[in-house]
Amino acid sequence: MALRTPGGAVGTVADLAARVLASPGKVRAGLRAAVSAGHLRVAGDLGGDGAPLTLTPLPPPPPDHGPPQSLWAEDLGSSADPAFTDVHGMLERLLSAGIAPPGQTFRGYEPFRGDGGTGFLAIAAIARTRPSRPRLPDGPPPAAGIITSNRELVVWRAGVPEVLAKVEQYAERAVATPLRDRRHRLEAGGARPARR
Amino acid sequence: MLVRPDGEQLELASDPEFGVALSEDGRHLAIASIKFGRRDRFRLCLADLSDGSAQVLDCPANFSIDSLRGGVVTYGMPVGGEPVGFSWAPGRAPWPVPYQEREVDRLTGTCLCRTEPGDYVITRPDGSKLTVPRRYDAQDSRLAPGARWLYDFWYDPPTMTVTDVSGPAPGPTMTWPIPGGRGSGPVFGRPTWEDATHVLLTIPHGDVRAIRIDATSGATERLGLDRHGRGEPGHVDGGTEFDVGGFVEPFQLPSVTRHPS
Repeated sequence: MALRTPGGAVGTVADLAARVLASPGKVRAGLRAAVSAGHLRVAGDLGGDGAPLTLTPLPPPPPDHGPPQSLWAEDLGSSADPAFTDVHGMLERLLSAGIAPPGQTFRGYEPFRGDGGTGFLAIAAIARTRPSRPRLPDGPPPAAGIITSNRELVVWRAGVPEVLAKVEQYAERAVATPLRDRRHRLEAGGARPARR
Repeated sequence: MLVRPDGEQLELASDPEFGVALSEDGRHLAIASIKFGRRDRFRLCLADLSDGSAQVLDCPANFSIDSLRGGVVTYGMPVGGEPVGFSWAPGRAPWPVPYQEREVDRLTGTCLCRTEPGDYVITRPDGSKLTVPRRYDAQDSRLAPGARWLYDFWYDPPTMTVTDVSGPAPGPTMTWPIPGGRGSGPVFGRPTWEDATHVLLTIPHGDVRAIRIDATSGATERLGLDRHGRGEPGHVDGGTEFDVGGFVEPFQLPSVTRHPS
Protein backbone atom coordinates (compact mmCIF):
# COMPACT_ATOMS: atom_id res chain seq x y z
CA MET A 1 0.00 0.00 0.00
CA ALA A 2 2.89 2.31 0.74
CA LEU A 3 4.08 1.99 -2.85
CA ARG A 4 0.74 3.00 -4.30
CA THR A 5 0.90 6.62 -3.30
CA PRO A 6 2.19 9.15 -5.85
CA GLY A 7 5.07 10.01 -3.53
CA GLY A 8 6.18 6.44 -2.97
CA ALA A 9 6.39 5.72 0.70
CA VAL A 10 5.08 9.20 1.53
CA GLY A 11 1.49 10.11 0.81
CA THR A 12 -1.79 11.09 2.32
CA VAL A 13 -4.93 9.23 3.29
CA ALA A 14 -6.67 11.03 0.42
CA ASP A 15 -4.02 9.74 -2.06
CA LEU A 16 -4.50 6.20 -0.88
CA ALA A 17 -8.28 6.50 -0.93
CA ALA A 18 -8.11 7.59 -4.57
CA ARG A 19 -5.77 4.75 -5.48
CA VAL A 20 -7.74 1.94 -3.84
CA LEU A 21 -11.19 3.40 -4.60
CA ALA A 22 -12.25 3.46 -0.96
CA SER A 23 -13.37 6.18 1.38
CA PRO A 24 -10.74 7.87 3.59
CA GLY A 25 -12.45 6.32 6.61
CA LYS A 26 -11.99 2.82 5.23
CA VAL A 27 -8.38 3.51 4.31
CA ARG A 28 -7.78 4.76 7.83
CA ALA A 29 -9.39 1.62 9.29
CA GLY A 30 -7.28 -0.56 7.01
CA LEU A 31 -4.09 1.24 8.01
CA ARG A 32 -4.95 0.89 11.68
CA ALA A 33 -5.58 -2.83 11.23
CA ALA A 34 -2.26 -3.24 9.39
CA VAL A 35 -0.41 -1.35 12.13
CA SER A 36 -2.16 -3.35 14.81
CA ALA A 37 -1.24 -6.62 13.09
CA GLY A 38 2.41 -5.55 12.83
CA HIS A 39 2.50 -5.33 9.02
CA LEU A 40 3.07 -1.60 8.75
CA ARG A 41 4.54 1.40 10.53
CA VAL A 42 2.84 4.75 9.99
CA ALA A 43 4.53 8.04 10.80
CA GLY A 44 2.31 11.12 10.68
CA ASP A 45 -1.19 12.12 11.63
CA LEU A 46 -3.72 9.47 10.59
CA GLY A 47 -6.56 11.77 11.56
CA GLY A 48 -6.33 14.21 8.65
CA ASP A 49 -7.06 13.25 5.04
CA GLY A 50 -4.36 15.53 3.66
CA ALA A 51 -1.67 15.11 6.30
CA PRO A 52 1.57 13.60 4.94
CA LEU A 53 2.14 10.05 6.11
CA THR A 54 5.20 7.87 5.80
CA LEU A 55 4.25 4.23 5.44
CA THR A 56 6.85 1.58 6.05
CA PRO A 57 5.95 -2.04 5.41
CA LEU A 58 7.48 -4.18 8.13
CA PRO A 59 9.14 -7.50 7.36
CA PRO A 60 7.68 -10.53 9.07
CA PRO A 61 9.34 -11.12 12.44
CA PRO A 62 12.16 -13.69 12.38
CA PRO A 63 11.00 -17.12 13.47
CA ASP A 64 11.66 -17.84 17.10
CA HIS A 65 12.43 -21.51 17.53
CA GLY A 66 12.87 -21.17 21.27
CA PRO A 67 15.70 -22.75 23.20
CA PRO A 68 17.21 -25.97 21.86
CA GLN A 69 15.39 -29.03 23.10
CA SER A 70 16.46 -32.62 23.19
CA LEU A 71 14.71 -35.07 20.94
CA TRP A 72 15.23 -38.74 21.64
CA ALA A 73 14.97 -41.27 18.94
CA GLU A 74 14.84 -44.74 20.35
CA ASP A 75 14.39 -48.29 19.25
CA LEU A 76 15.41 -47.71 15.70
CA GLY A 77 15.62 -51.39 14.88
CA SER A 78 17.74 -54.42 15.55
CA SER A 79 21.48 -54.58 15.28
CA ALA A 80 21.01 -56.46 12.04
CA ASP A 81 19.66 -53.27 10.52
CA PRO A 82 22.18 -51.90 8.02
CA ALA A 83 21.78 -48.49 9.65
CA PHE A 84 23.61 -49.77 12.69
CA THR A 85 26.50 -51.03 10.68
CA ASP A 86 27.42 -47.45 9.85
CA VAL A 87 26.21 -45.23 12.64
CA HIS A 88 28.20 -42.23 11.54
CA GLY A 89 26.89 -42.52 8.01
CA MET A 90 23.37 -42.56 9.32
CA LEU A 91 24.02 -39.48 11.42
CA GLU A 92 25.29 -37.71 8.34
CA ARG A 93 22.09 -38.57 6.53
CA LEU A 94 20.00 -37.36 9.45
CA LEU A 95 21.94 -34.12 9.58
CA SER A 96 21.61 -33.52 5.86
CA ALA A 97 17.88 -34.19 6.19
CA GLY A 98 17.66 -31.23 8.51
CA ILE A 99 17.05 -32.94 11.82
CA ALA A 100 19.98 -31.05 13.31
CA PRO A 101 22.11 -28.25 11.87
CA PRO A 102 25.54 -29.32 10.64
CA GLY A 103 28.17 -28.80 13.25
CA GLN A 104 25.84 -29.69 16.10
CA THR A 105 27.83 -31.77 18.54
CA PHE A 106 26.51 -34.83 20.25
CA ARG A 107 28.59 -34.63 23.36
CA GLY A 108 27.25 -36.96 25.96
CA TYR A 109 24.96 -38.71 23.53
CA GLU A 110 27.32 -41.20 21.99
CA PRO A 111 25.52 -43.57 19.72
CA PHE A 112 26.37 -47.20 20.18
CA ARG A 113 25.72 -50.49 18.52
CA GLY A 114 23.53 -53.08 20.04
CA ASP A 115 25.09 -56.42 20.75
CA GLY A 116 22.70 -58.87 19.24
CA GLY A 117 19.57 -57.46 20.82
CA THR A 118 17.55 -54.38 19.97
CA GLY A 119 19.61 -51.35 19.07
CA PHE A 120 19.09 -47.95 20.66
CA LEU A 121 20.30 -44.65 19.42
CA ALA A 122 20.09 -41.29 21.13
CA ILE A 123 20.23 -38.09 19.11
CA ALA A 124 20.18 -34.54 20.33
CA ALA A 125 18.62 -32.19 17.83
CA ILE A 126 17.01 -28.82 17.59
CA ALA A 127 13.26 -29.11 17.88
CA ARG A 128 11.62 -26.67 15.53
CA THR A 129 8.76 -25.11 17.40
CA ARG A 130 6.21 -22.72 15.98
CA PRO A 131 6.94 -19.03 16.31
CA SER A 132 5.69 -17.88 19.66
CA ARG A 133 2.91 -15.30 19.80
CA PRO A 134 2.14 -13.20 22.83
CA ARG A 135 -0.36 -15.10 24.90
CA LEU A 136 -3.79 -13.52 25.14
CA PRO A 137 -4.89 -12.42 28.59
CA ASP A 138 -7.32 -14.79 30.23
CA GLY A 139 -10.90 -13.64 30.57
CA PRO A 140 -13.85 -15.01 32.48
CA PRO A 141 -15.97 -17.83 31.04
CA PRO A 142 -18.91 -16.89 28.79
CA ALA A 143 -21.63 -15.21 30.85
CA ALA A 144 -24.53 -17.39 29.76
CA GLY A 145 -22.69 -20.66 29.09
CA ILE A 146 -21.76 -22.74 26.09
CA ILE A 147 -22.84 -25.73 24.05
CA THR A 148 -19.91 -28.09 23.59
CA SER A 149 -19.20 -30.12 20.50
CA ASN A 150 -20.37 -33.10 22.61
CA ARG A 151 -23.80 -31.39 22.89
CA GLU A 152 -23.30 -30.57 26.56
CA LEU A 153 -25.00 -27.45 27.90
CA VAL A 154 -22.46 -25.94 30.32
CA VAL A 155 -23.05 -22.99 32.65
CA TRP A 156 -20.63 -21.45 35.13
CA ARG A 157 -21.80 -20.89 38.67
CA ALA A 158 -19.43 -19.00 40.96
CA GLY A 159 -16.71 -19.63 38.41
CA VAL A 160 -17.20 -23.39 38.43
CA PRO A 161 -18.52 -25.11 35.31
CA GLU A 162 -21.59 -27.28 35.57
CA VAL A 163 -22.82 -29.57 32.82
CA LEU A 164 -26.52 -28.79 33.04
CA ALA A 165 -27.67 -31.27 30.43
CA LYS A 166 -26.59 -33.30 27.49
CA VAL A 167 -29.02 -32.63 24.68
CA GLU A 168 -29.82 -35.34 22.22
CA GLN A 169 -29.98 -33.34 19.03
CA TYR A 170 -27.24 -31.32 17.48
CA ALA A 171 -27.74 -27.86 18.95
CA GLU A 172 -27.12 -25.06 16.51
CA ARG A 173 -28.34 -22.26 18.68
CA ALA A 174 -28.97 -21.69 22.39
CA VAL A 175 -30.76 -18.80 24.03
CA ALA A 176 -31.02 -18.01 27.75
CA THR A 177 -34.38 -16.93 29.11
CA PRO A 178 -35.07 -15.01 32.30
CA LEU A 179 -37.68 -17.28 33.80
CA ARG A 180 -37.10 -18.68 37.25
CA ASP A 181 -34.44 -16.46 38.61
CA ARG A 182 -32.76 -16.13 35.21
CA ARG A 183 -31.56 -19.69 35.34
CA HIS A 184 -33.92 -21.10 32.81
CA ARG A 185 -32.10 -22.08 29.66
CA LEU A 186 -33.66 -22.55 26.38
CA GLU A 187 -32.03 -24.24 23.51
CA ALA A 188 -33.50 -24.34 20.07
CA GLY A 189 -31.65 -26.12 17.37
CA GLY A 190 -31.90 -27.52 13.91
CA ALA A 191 -29.60 -28.97 11.33
CA ARG A 192 -30.65 -26.65 8.55
CA PRO A 193 -28.76 -23.41 8.13
CA ALA A 194 -30.38 -20.05 8.59
CA ARG A 195 -31.88 -18.63 5.46
CA ARG A 196 -30.76 -15.15 6.23
CA MET B 1 -35.80 -28.05 23.52
CA LEU B 2 -36.25 -26.33 26.86
CA VAL B 3 -33.65 -27.14 29.50
CA ARG B 4 -34.69 -26.35 33.05
CA PRO B 5 -32.19 -25.33 35.75
CA ASP B 6 -32.24 -28.87 37.14
CA GLY B 7 -31.33 -30.26 33.73
CA GLU B 8 -34.80 -31.54 32.85
CA GLN B 9 -35.47 -31.29 29.11
CA LEU B 10 -38.77 -30.55 27.43
CA GLU B 11 -39.35 -30.62 23.69
CA LEU B 12 -41.15 -27.46 22.58
CA ALA B 13 -41.34 -28.28 18.87
CA SER B 14 -39.98 -30.97 16.60
CA ASP B 15 -37.74 -30.18 13.63
CA PRO B 16 -36.96 -26.61 14.71
CA GLU B 17 -35.37 -24.20 12.27
CA PHE B 18 -32.39 -22.08 13.16
CA GLY B 19 -34.28 -18.78 13.09
CA VAL B 20 -36.27 -18.39 16.30
CA ALA B 21 -37.63 -15.20 17.88
CA LEU B 22 -37.80 -14.55 21.60
CA SER B 23 -40.42 -12.17 22.98
CA GLU B 24 -39.41 -8.93 24.68
CA ASP B 25 -39.98 -10.39 28.15
CA GLY B 26 -38.36 -13.72 27.30
CA ARG B 27 -41.47 -15.76 28.08
CA HIS B 28 -42.54 -16.73 24.57
CA LEU B 29 -40.55 -18.17 21.69
CA ALA B 30 -41.64 -18.39 18.07
CA ILE B 31 -40.28 -21.51 16.37
CA ALA B 32 -40.54 -22.60 12.74
CA SER B 33 -41.09 -26.36 12.82
CA ILE B 34 -40.35 -27.51 9.28
CA LYS B 35 -40.37 -31.10 8.11
CA PHE B 36 -39.81 -32.19 4.54
CA GLY B 37 -40.95 -35.67 3.59
CA ARG B 38 -43.68 -37.47 1.74
CA ARG B 39 -46.00 -34.97 3.37
CA ASP B 40 -44.22 -31.71 4.04
CA ARG B 41 -45.21 -29.98 7.24
CA PHE B 42 -44.76 -26.30 8.03
CA ARG B 43 -45.79 -25.25 11.52
CA LEU B 44 -45.39 -21.98 13.33
CA CYS B 45 -45.23 -22.72 17.07
CA LEU B 46 -45.55 -19.99 19.67
CA ALA B 47 -44.30 -21.67 22.84
CA ASP B 48 -44.94 -20.43 26.37
CA LEU B 49 -41.70 -21.16 28.19
CA SER B 50 -43.31 -20.94 31.63
CA ASP B 51 -45.19 -24.21 31.11
CA GLY B 52 -43.97 -25.60 27.78
CA SER B 53 -47.38 -25.22 26.08
CA ALA B 54 -47.56 -24.00 22.48
CA GLN B 55 -50.04 -22.36 20.12
CA VAL B 56 -49.62 -23.78 16.63
CA LEU B 57 -50.39 -22.35 13.19
CA ASP B 58 -50.33 -24.75 10.25
CA CYS B 59 -48.83 -22.98 7.24
CA PRO B 60 -49.31 -24.03 3.61
CA ALA B 61 -45.69 -23.42 2.60
CA ASN B 62 -42.19 -23.03 3.97
CA PHE B 63 -41.74 -19.79 5.85
CA SER B 64 -39.18 -17.89 7.88
CA ILE B 65 -39.80 -16.04 11.13
CA ASP B 66 -39.12 -12.33 11.04
CA SER B 67 -39.94 -11.09 14.53
CA LEU B 68 -42.02 -11.58 17.67
CA ARG B 69 -43.12 -8.28 19.14
CA GLY B 70 -46.15 -7.39 21.26
CA GLY B 71 -47.41 -10.97 21.09
CA VAL B 72 -47.51 -10.84 17.27
CA VAL B 73 -45.35 -13.11 15.12
CA THR B 74 -44.37 -11.78 11.71
CA TYR B 75 -43.11 -14.17 9.06
CA GLY B 76 -42.44 -14.35 5.34
CA MET B 77 -43.93 -17.02 3.09
CA PRO B 78 -44.08 -17.46 -0.69
CA VAL B 79 -47.51 -16.98 -2.26
CA GLY B 80 -47.71 -17.52 -6.00
CA GLY B 81 -43.94 -17.48 -6.23
CA GLU B 82 -43.61 -14.11 -4.50
CA PRO B 83 -42.67 -13.64 -0.85
CA VAL B 84 -45.51 -12.19 1.22
CA GLY B 85 -45.36 -10.97 4.80
CA PHE B 86 -47.90 -12.12 7.37
CA SER B 87 -48.56 -11.40 11.00
CA TRP B 88 -50.23 -13.78 13.39
CA ALA B 89 -51.34 -13.76 17.00
CA PRO B 90 -52.95 -16.77 18.70
CA GLY B 91 -56.74 -16.66 18.44
CA ARG B 92 -56.71 -14.69 15.18
CA ALA B 93 -56.31 -15.56 11.52
CA PRO B 94 -53.02 -14.44 9.95
CA TRP B 95 -53.18 -11.12 8.13
CA PRO B 96 -50.92 -9.88 5.31
CA VAL B 97 -48.35 -7.19 5.98
CA PRO B 98 -45.73 -5.60 3.70
CA TYR B 99 -42.86 -8.00 3.15
CA GLN B 100 -39.26 -6.97 3.51
CA GLU B 101 -36.14 -9.06 3.78
CA ARG B 102 -34.75 -7.68 7.00
CA GLU B 103 -33.20 -8.32 10.37
CA VAL B 104 -35.05 -6.99 13.41
CA ASP B 105 -33.21 -6.22 16.63
CA ARG B 106 -35.18 -7.76 19.47
CA LEU B 107 -34.06 -5.18 22.00
CA THR B 108 -34.88 -1.99 20.10
CA GLY B 109 -37.03 -2.96 17.13
CA THR B 110 -34.43 -1.44 14.82
CA CYS B 111 -34.49 -3.01 11.33
CA LEU B 112 -31.59 -3.74 8.99
CA CYS B 113 -32.24 -4.04 5.24
CA ARG B 114 -30.08 -4.06 2.12
CA THR B 115 -30.74 -1.95 -0.90
CA GLU B 116 -30.30 -3.22 -4.44
CA PRO B 117 -26.74 -1.82 -4.79
CA GLY B 118 -25.84 -3.52 -1.53
CA ASP B 119 -25.88 -0.59 0.88
CA TYR B 120 -27.30 -1.13 4.36
CA VAL B 121 -30.32 0.81 5.57
CA ILE B 122 -31.02 0.94 9.27
CA THR B 123 -34.55 1.97 10.26
CA ARG B 124 -35.02 2.95 13.88
CA PRO B 125 -38.33 2.63 15.76
CA ASP B 126 -38.89 6.40 15.47
CA GLY B 127 -38.80 6.08 11.69
CA SER B 128 -35.40 7.71 11.19
CA LYS B 129 -33.14 6.00 8.67
CA LEU B 130 -29.40 5.66 8.37
CA THR B 131 -27.64 4.43 5.24
CA VAL B 132 -24.28 2.70 5.58
CA PRO B 133 -22.47 2.33 2.24
CA ARG B 134 -21.42 -1.21 1.39
CA ARG B 135 -17.82 -2.23 1.96
CA TYR B 136 -16.49 -3.91 -1.12
CA ASP B 137 -14.53 -6.43 0.88
CA ALA B 138 -16.92 -7.38 3.63
CA GLN B 139 -19.05 -10.36 4.33
CA ASP B 140 -22.68 -9.75 5.19
CA SER B 141 -23.02 -7.26 7.99
CA ARG B 142 -25.34 -7.79 10.92
CA LEU B 143 -26.74 -5.72 13.75
CA ALA B 144 -25.50 -6.35 17.27
CA PRO B 145 -28.21 -6.62 19.95
CA GLY B 146 -29.14 -3.09 20.98
CA ALA B 147 -28.45 -1.87 17.42
CA ARG B 148 -25.40 0.19 18.27
CA TRP B 149 -23.05 -1.77 16.04
CA LEU B 150 -23.14 -2.96 12.48
CA TYR B 151 -20.49 -5.67 12.31
CA ASP B 152 -18.88 -8.07 9.89
CA PHE B 153 -15.82 -10.22 9.44
CA TRP B 154 -13.00 -10.56 6.98
CA TYR B 155 -10.70 -13.54 6.80
CA ASP B 156 -7.39 -12.49 5.25
CA PRO B 157 -6.13 -11.11 7.53
CA PRO B 158 -8.76 -12.26 10.04
CA THR B 159 -10.48 -9.16 11.32
CA MET B 160 -13.76 -7.91 12.70
CA THR B 161 -15.08 -4.52 11.65
CA VAL B 162 -17.62 -2.63 13.74
CA THR B 163 -19.37 0.57 12.71
CA ASP B 164 -21.19 2.65 15.28
CA VAL B 165 -24.66 3.19 13.80
CA SER B 166 -26.28 4.77 16.85
CA GLY B 167 -25.62 8.38 15.81
CA PRO B 168 -26.95 10.63 13.04
CA ALA B 169 -24.15 9.47 10.71
CA PRO B 170 -22.42 6.07 10.57
CA GLY B 171 -19.08 5.85 12.35
CA PRO B 172 -16.55 5.59 13.61
CA THR B 173 -15.66 2.36 11.85
CA MET B 174 -13.04 0.26 13.60
CA THR B 175 -11.31 -2.90 12.44
CA TRP B 176 -9.83 -5.26 14.99
CA PRO B 177 -7.51 -8.19 14.31
CA ILE B 178 -8.68 -11.63 15.38
CA PRO B 179 -5.69 -13.43 16.87
CA GLY B 180 -5.26 -17.03 15.93
CA GLY B 181 -7.68 -16.85 13.04
CA ARG B 182 -6.60 -18.46 9.81
CA GLY B 183 -6.91 -16.83 6.45
CA SER B 184 -8.77 -19.72 4.92
CA GLY B 185 -12.38 -18.67 4.74
CA PRO B 186 -15.11 -17.39 6.99
CA VAL B 187 -13.95 -19.53 9.84
CA PHE B 188 -15.49 -17.90 12.86
CA GLY B 189 -18.36 -19.58 14.60
CA ARG B 190 -21.66 -17.88 15.20
CA PRO B 191 -20.73 -14.62 16.94
CA THR B 192 -22.59 -14.07 20.19
CA TRP B 193 -22.86 -10.68 21.84
CA GLU B 194 -22.42 -11.10 25.56
CA ASP B 195 -23.48 -7.52 26.28
CA ALA B 196 -23.58 -4.19 24.44
CA THR B 197 -19.85 -4.13 23.71
CA HIS B 198 -18.40 -7.64 24.01
CA VAL B 199 -18.65 -10.30 21.34
CA LEU B 200 -17.71 -13.96 21.76
CA LEU B 201 -16.18 -15.93 18.89
CA THR B 202 -15.04 -19.48 18.37
CA ILE B 203 -11.91 -19.97 16.28
CA PRO B 204 -11.83 -23.44 14.74
CA HIS B 205 -8.35 -24.95 14.35
CA GLY B 206 -6.70 -22.09 16.25
CA ASP B 207 -4.33 -22.25 19.19
CA VAL B 208 -6.97 -20.36 21.14
CA ARG B 209 -10.45 -21.72 20.58
CA ALA B 210 -12.69 -19.05 22.01
CA ILE B 211 -12.15 -15.33 22.50
CA ARG B 212 -13.95 -12.23 23.68
CA ILE B 213 -13.43 -8.95 21.80
CA ASP B 214 -14.32 -5.51 23.13
CA ALA B 215 -15.89 -3.69 20.18
CA THR B 216 -14.88 -0.28 21.49
CA SER B 217 -11.19 -0.98 22.09
CA GLY B 218 -10.37 -4.21 20.27
CA ALA B 219 -9.07 -5.69 23.53
CA THR B 220 -9.15 -9.46 23.19
CA GLU B 221 -9.29 -12.14 25.87
CA ARG B 222 -9.00 -15.88 25.81
CA LEU B 223 -12.11 -17.41 27.36
CA GLY B 224 -11.60 -19.53 30.46
CA LEU B 225 -13.08 -22.91 29.53
CA ASP B 226 -11.25 -25.09 32.03
CA ARG B 227 -13.29 -28.16 32.94
CA HIS B 228 -12.19 -28.16 36.58
CA GLY B 229 -12.25 -31.91 36.26
CA ARG B 230 -15.95 -31.89 35.45
CA GLY B 231 -17.81 -33.17 32.47
CA GLU B 232 -16.88 -35.86 30.02
CA PRO B 233 -13.25 -36.04 29.03
CA GLY B 234 -12.98 -34.60 25.55
CA HIS B 235 -10.31 -35.16 22.99
CA VAL B 236 -8.94 -31.63 22.90
CA ASP B 237 -5.87 -31.06 25.08
CA GLY B 238 -6.62 -34.27 26.95
CA GLY B 239 -9.99 -32.93 27.94
CA THR B 240 -8.70 -30.14 30.17
CA GLU B 241 -10.89 -27.60 28.41
CA PHE B 242 -14.43 -27.72 27.09
CA ASP B 243 -14.52 -28.02 23.34
CA VAL B 244 -16.84 -25.12 22.64
CA GLY B 245 -19.33 -25.59 19.83
CA GLY B 246 -21.34 -22.42 20.41
CA PHE B 247 -22.31 -19.90 23.02
CA VAL B 248 -25.59 -19.47 24.84
CA GLU B 249 -27.05 -16.11 23.88
CA PRO B 250 -27.54 -14.15 27.12
CA PHE B 251 -30.99 -12.78 27.79
CA GLN B 252 -31.27 -9.02 27.72
CA LEU B 253 -34.32 -6.92 28.48
CA PRO B 254 -35.24 -4.29 25.90
CA SER B 255 -34.18 -0.80 26.83
CA VAL B 256 -37.01 1.49 27.93
CA THR B 257 -36.87 5.15 27.04
CA ARG B 258 -38.90 7.39 29.30
CA HIS B 259 -41.16 9.86 27.59
CA PRO B 260 -40.04 13.40 28.40
CA SER B 261 -42.64 15.01 30.63
